[in-house]
Amino acid sequence: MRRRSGRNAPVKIFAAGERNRPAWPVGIAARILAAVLLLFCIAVFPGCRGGGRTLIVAGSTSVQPVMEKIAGAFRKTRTSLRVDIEGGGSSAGIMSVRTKTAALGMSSRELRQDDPNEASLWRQMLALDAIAIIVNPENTVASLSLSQIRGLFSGRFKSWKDVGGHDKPVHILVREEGSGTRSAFEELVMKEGKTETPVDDYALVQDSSGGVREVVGSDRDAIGFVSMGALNPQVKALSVDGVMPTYELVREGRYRLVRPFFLVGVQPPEGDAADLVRFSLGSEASSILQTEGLVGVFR
Amino acid sequence: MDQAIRRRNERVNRIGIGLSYLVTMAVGLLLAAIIGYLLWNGWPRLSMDFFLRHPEDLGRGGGILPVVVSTILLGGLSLAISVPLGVCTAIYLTEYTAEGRLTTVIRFGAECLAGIPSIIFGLFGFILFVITLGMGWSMLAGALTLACMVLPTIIRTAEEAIKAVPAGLRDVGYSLGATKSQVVWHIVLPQARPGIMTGVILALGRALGETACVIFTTGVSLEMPASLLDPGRPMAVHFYILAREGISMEMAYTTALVLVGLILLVNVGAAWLLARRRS
Amino acid sequence: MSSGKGMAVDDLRRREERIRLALLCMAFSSILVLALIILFVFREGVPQIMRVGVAEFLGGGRWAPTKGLFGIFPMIIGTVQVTLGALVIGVPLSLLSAICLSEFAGPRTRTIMKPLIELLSAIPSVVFGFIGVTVIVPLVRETLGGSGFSVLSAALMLSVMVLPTITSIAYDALRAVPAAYREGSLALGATPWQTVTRVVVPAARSGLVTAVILGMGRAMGETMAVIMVAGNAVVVPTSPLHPCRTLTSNIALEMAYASGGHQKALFATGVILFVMIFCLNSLATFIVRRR
Repeated sequence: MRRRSGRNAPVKIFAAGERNRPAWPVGIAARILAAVLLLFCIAVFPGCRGGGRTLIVAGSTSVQPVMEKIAGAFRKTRTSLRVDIEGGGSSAGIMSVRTKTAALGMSSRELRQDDPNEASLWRQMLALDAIAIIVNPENTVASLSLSQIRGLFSGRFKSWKDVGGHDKPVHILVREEGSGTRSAFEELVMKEGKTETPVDDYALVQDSSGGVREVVGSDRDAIGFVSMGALNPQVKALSVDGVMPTYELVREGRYRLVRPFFLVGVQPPEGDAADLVRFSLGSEASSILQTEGLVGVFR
Repeated sequence: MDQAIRRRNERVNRIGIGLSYLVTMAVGLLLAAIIGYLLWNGWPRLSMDFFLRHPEDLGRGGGILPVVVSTILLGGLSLAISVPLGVCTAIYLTEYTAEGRLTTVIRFGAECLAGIPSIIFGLFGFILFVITLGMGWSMLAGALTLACMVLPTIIRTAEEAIKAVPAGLRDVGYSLGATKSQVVWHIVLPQARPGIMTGVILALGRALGETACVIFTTGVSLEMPASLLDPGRPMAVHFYILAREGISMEMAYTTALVLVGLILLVNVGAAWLLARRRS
Repeated sequence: MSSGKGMAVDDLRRREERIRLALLCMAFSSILVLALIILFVFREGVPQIMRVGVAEFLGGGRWAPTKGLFGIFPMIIGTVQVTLGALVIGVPLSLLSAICLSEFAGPRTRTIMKPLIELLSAIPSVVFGFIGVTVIVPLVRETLGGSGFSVLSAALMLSVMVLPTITSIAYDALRAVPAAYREGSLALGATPWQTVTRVVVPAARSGLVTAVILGMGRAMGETMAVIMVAGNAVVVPTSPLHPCRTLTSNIALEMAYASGGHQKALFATGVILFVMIFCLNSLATFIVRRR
């Protein structure tokens, strides 16, 4: 350790090799802050958005993918506007509209009329979505009646052979409580008149349609439900009471497991939000909806 | 000693040692297997394009530029908040007070924080920063929450590093007329810097891998965050969403590869720094 | 001493005092954060527990928030089972690794293997969860039956995740045992293995227990990875092949969708989790201090 004396007290002691650097906490903090600010500038510069207005749309994760696509097309017409699509679920979307966290909400279920908070909201139907019952492509079962489906999901039928398939136990997949897709499923399938049969306790819970699809696609004995827009070659959709979930059959009203997608707001939207709503009901959006497997409201 | 007993002991000895070697090798191999698995599946999509382009089609195509930016912003910002706070706490605990009721209370607080699971931090960050303080889903809320989470790690490592500075150095400073703050700032901290940096880097590694806590505070938007109050999506969250939704397995693997690579780099850097200090 | 110099000393003293106070305030940051967490999380959650009733909340077997049922008993059991499973699998493996690295391995093996094991902790938990879904779940499904999403899958995955934690702390504990113990034992004719199992390990007992408890804490707090492999069914698992839901998964799964009483119930789940982990950590501190 070399010792050097300067002209001013206190004397600094230098460890071997060390030089007279600035006090390190300041140095490091300053460097980190500088790096952060630099990145921040880099982040802003390419976008170079003037005004920087942001439109937040939050809500159902079932509506989210198609809304992302619509917003993507919308953004091309309005480059200065930033549209953020957040998930969180129908209930969260409705709540965030009420707390003004989001300008528009997405809901995959009807607004509750018995809840004064929800009944007073503005809403616009965006599309009709069908709920498809899916099984693994290697499952021999291809068509079931509604009561058979109910029996499978409630645990009454424990094996696939009870509905004409192979002799293996049924692995049930559902979405989590509070999911719009789940409550729609329970309304449309598990409810018979006034009584609702509960889903089996041993049903596996996945937190997204994609997750349900992944599991059903890899497990021969699994059954689940997803939004029709989430169908892909990994899974096989069952025909319910003889009707397959296709675009045409949904539009004609023959496929019965349908639910509406809504855009909601505190009051009829104005400005950017109104433009987005108008765009979503237009022809370009309609073709986007169709590619996603949804039936648009206006043709 | 009886020959039979001695032979049995020898055999048990050999088996025991062999078994423990086997297990250790297996565990090490496990790490190699995981990295290999990610490399095998994620390498094809890796390219400069991957880093520089925006995601297309919800992440099925394009690149992950906004994700990378969000990751760096989140990590940097949470460190910028937690490091000064943590280091100052460590300085106070070691230099300014003797062991007593006060230090026990502060240390107890830090230890408790260290044990809290990340989901609770997520809840806390959501209710405090996003809702009550009105930041909405934002980089700032996420960074503040992450800072709270890594604070105990920084305090602990900074304390150890500062304690390791030989008392002799401090005494020389005092004997030359320096005040306490001067001794700390010009002598102790520079000496403790490598150890503190190790802790900081380890904290960074932890923050980068966080998901539960970040989803509730930073949101999941794929847009480039243009300001600190914008939502964003760091790499761990992007990977989780890609993989869980089955949006694109190849992109998921590649994102995971980049993320794990980044964290490994960070940890190896910390180890290297530590080794350099020791030599 | 001239008055000029006296002034300078006073100034200096005041500046020092101000710096000391500033540092004191910063030092309270960790306490402040802890207090805030307790305040906000408990404030949301505790009233809900009271509203439902402590016995009903902790002991009730049905969790159906949309219908007003808030029983988290299956989740408590789920957490306990998954954690215990992870420890049953992970602790022997970790201890054996720690023993190998500390007692038997040469310096070269040690410098390679130890960082390798510690790097395992660098892998983010979502990656583990993903590997769990793509590798462990199908494996369990093909070999043992069931859907693969089970307590067993979660325990297997968690055991790998806590391995580095337990191994490195156990290693430190074993290293701290004085060499004299080992030398004495060997001098008396014990084999190395006997020395380790009968002398070193008992001597390092409290450090090893701390390692296990910290690993337990990590396993209990894991969220994302467990959601991906445990199945998340709200049932009390009576077999390792049954699905289960942990307290952490419960919060993460439904938080995004919850509102009102449902959301408060999730905060309440957080409160219970917090209390459980707090007790665990206090136990660890108590054991360490008793030594």
